[in-house]
Amino acid sequence: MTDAVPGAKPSADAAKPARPAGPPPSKPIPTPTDANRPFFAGCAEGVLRLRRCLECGRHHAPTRAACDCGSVAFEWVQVAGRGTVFSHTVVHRAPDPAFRADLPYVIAIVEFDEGGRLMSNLVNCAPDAVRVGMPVKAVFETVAEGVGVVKFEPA
Amino acid sequence: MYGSIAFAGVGEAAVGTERVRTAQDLAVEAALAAMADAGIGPRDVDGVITASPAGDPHFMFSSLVTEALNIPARINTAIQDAGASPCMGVLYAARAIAAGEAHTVLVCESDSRGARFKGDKIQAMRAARPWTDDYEDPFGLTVPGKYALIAQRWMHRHGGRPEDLAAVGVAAREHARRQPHAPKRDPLTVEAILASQPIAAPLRALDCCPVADWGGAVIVTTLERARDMRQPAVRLLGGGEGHGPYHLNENDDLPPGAARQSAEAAFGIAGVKPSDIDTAQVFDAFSIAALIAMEELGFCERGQAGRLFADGHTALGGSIPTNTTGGMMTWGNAHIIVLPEAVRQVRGDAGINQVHGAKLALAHGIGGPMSLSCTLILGQ
Repeated sequence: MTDAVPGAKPSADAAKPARPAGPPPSKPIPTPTDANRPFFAGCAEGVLRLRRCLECGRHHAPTRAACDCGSVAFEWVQVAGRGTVFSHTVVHRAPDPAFRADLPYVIAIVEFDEGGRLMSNLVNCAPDAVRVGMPVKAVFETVAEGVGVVKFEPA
Repeated sequence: MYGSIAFAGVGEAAVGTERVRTAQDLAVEAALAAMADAGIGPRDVDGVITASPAGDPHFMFSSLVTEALNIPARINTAIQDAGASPCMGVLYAARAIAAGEAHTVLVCESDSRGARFKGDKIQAMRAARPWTDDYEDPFGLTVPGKYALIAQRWMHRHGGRPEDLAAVGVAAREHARRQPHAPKRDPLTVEAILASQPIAAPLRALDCCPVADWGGAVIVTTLERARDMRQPAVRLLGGGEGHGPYHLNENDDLPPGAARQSAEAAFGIAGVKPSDIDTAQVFDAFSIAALIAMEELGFCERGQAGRLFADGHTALGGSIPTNTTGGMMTWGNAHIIVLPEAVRQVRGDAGINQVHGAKLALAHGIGGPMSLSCTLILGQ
């Protein structure tokens, strides 16, 4: 049990990135589904949509299929995209070479004025200047045809 | 069920990456050590519960272990509760034994992250899985980043300081320094931690555990059977789970409520309170995780855990000696490290870091960025 086994997988193989060599590293792009397309398509159109409960009116992130009140009936609604920083971090070590050029960058959880929260990047802001409670507003990036992501900047 | 389920043996694979071992090898090595400790063999075991390794991910990992050890399994599964997997595995084993579906279950966790993830560990670990999360991955979120978001909120709410975070690493090193085979034995200072490389503010390199290979195993069986085995039986007196959302932004507040939920359930079942516990073995893959664990498990008020570590309460001779092995902060992200140590502390054979007269131990795990938690209470 304690002997090294000939032919065992060399560790270097497992450490190789999954992506093939060649093209420059690219950030992951959301792959919308029927369940969340209004969110990602909205971001490509410069519109922020959240899921609003038809029973109690709470706003939720796109990941939610049931409300705190128990309802599973939702509609997509456009929100103003304004809110405050709930928490934040400054990333100094990237998860992928695609993010290296951005270092250091800010990730924040943003709480919308209407309710509901999302996690994203906080941009156009010095990383050291970010504070909990800071007002922010949505900005959008189109990352593929009909697919966008929402980020935030100081309001 | 509680009180009549016992730990009969514990074991670990040898530490280090100088040898080539897969996660399966590490699980087998640890399992054989735990069986030897209990004085039984693979044919005496009829259940296998493993975690799911990141270094050598494999479909149905537990079946690899069952196969290698030729265990006549009546239950067999690999759970995916990340850092809570070992403690959760014990709960599932206990339930299966109580239901009569198995009598002696091997619960193990192993990983080959040290051997497999070379170079930039954060990038290597991320590259080992596909991009799958459309709400986190596009923004460059890392695992330390998740804990950093929790840490920043904790600091905001309680006026916490980086020094509070650093107190965890300093305390861990003090436990490690007493052990001849610990990977690092020189003193660690708050200043050194605060000067280490920033990873995801406010977390620095020395707020994060090393990436390592590990294997650990425990044998869970009936109290009756355990009493016929080689070691003194250590009873499972209480256990509880806590659960919340996967995505941090979906929690009502931070820290997530899972740790507190799991602790309240476990203490309620065991009929004891935090001040009754002689030693705590908690999840400390990141400094903030250990701080929040101590607060949410009820060992101090919210916002006070930095002082708990800094003022020596978690040291040997303190009110609640914590992570007496040196924890994951010392040995790497071996989440199962909490279990063998809790068992040994109650048996009185924890060696140089034995808590004198320990009768009640707590073992704890966290999965994901505190999405789920498991708390176990062990006693004589």
